[in-house]
Amino acid sequence: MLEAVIAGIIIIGFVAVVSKSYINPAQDFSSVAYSSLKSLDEQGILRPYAQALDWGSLNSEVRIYGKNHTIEICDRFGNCAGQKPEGANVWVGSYIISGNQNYQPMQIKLYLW
Amino acid sequence: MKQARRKERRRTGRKGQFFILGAVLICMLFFVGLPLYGPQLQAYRKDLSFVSSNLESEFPRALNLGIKAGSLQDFADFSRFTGSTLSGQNEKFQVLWIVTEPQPLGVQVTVGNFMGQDQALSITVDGSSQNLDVSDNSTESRFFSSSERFEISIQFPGHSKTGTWVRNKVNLYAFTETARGTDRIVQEIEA
Repeated sequence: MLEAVIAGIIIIGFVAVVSKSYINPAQDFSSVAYSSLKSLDEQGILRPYAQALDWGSLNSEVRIYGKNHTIEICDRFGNCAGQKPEGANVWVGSYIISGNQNYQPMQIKLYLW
Repeated sequence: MKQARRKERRRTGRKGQFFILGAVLICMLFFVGLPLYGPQLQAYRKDLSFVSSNLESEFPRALNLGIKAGSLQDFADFSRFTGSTLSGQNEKFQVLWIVTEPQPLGVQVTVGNFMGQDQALSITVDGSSQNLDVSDNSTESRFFSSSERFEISIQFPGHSKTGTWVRNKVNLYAFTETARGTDRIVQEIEA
C-alpha cells in the first residue's frame, strides 16, 4: 500500500516538473530574433549582406548571447543561402525586405536554439 | 503459522517494490521520448505583430524602389512576394493598395488588388468619380484631373477611406490583412 502511494507521488511529481517546463516556455525568442534583425536593418547592416547572400557575415553581426544562432536568406525564386538547424526547440524570427539600392526582395530568417 | 505470515509479508512487500520500479520506468520512458515530441520550429503567436510592423515600413520602401525603376510592377511583385513568403509561414496575407503619381494637370491612380478575389472600387478625386473593377492579382490605372491639393475618396466592399493628398508627390494607401488561424491583423499603411 505504502509503495503504491510512493509510486503515485513519483509519477505525479515527474509530470508536474516536466509540464511546467514544456507548457510555459520562459521567453519568446522569436521576438528576440525579429528585434535583432530589425536592429541590424536600422544600423544599415542587414540589407547589403542580404543582397550579397552573405549569411555568414550577417550572422556574425548578430549580438545574442546565451543562444546559438544562424541565418538563412531566401530570394523571391525560393533560392536560399545559409543554414537551417535541425532539431527540436529552434526559435525563428523572419524579416522581409524589398531590396537595398534596387528592387530585390528577400526574406531573412534568424534561427535561435 | 508464523512462517506462513512471514512468507505472505515478503510476497506483498515485493509486489510493492514493483509499483515503485514501474513508476520509475514510466518516468524514464516518458523522459526519453520527450525530445521526439518537442516542436521543431517555434514562432510565438504574437509574431503576426512583427510581420505587421515589418510591412508597415517595407511597403513604402518597396514603392520607392519600384518608382525608381520606373514602374509599379516591382511594387506589385513585392505584394505577391510578401503573400507567397508569408503563406510559407502558414500566414495569409492580403493587400489592396492605391497609388497616385503626379501627371500634368492631374494624377494617375493605380490600384493593386491582391485580396484573393476581384474587387469593385469607387474612386473620387476632387468630386469626379470613376468605378474600377480590378481582378485579383492585378493592377488597374485611371487618370483623374486634380488640383495641387486634392480630395480623394476610396470605397471598396466593407471599407472606405478619404483624405487630402498632394499632387506633386507619389501617395500610397494600402489596406492589408494578415491572418493565421483565428488571429488577424488589419492594417492601413499611408505614405
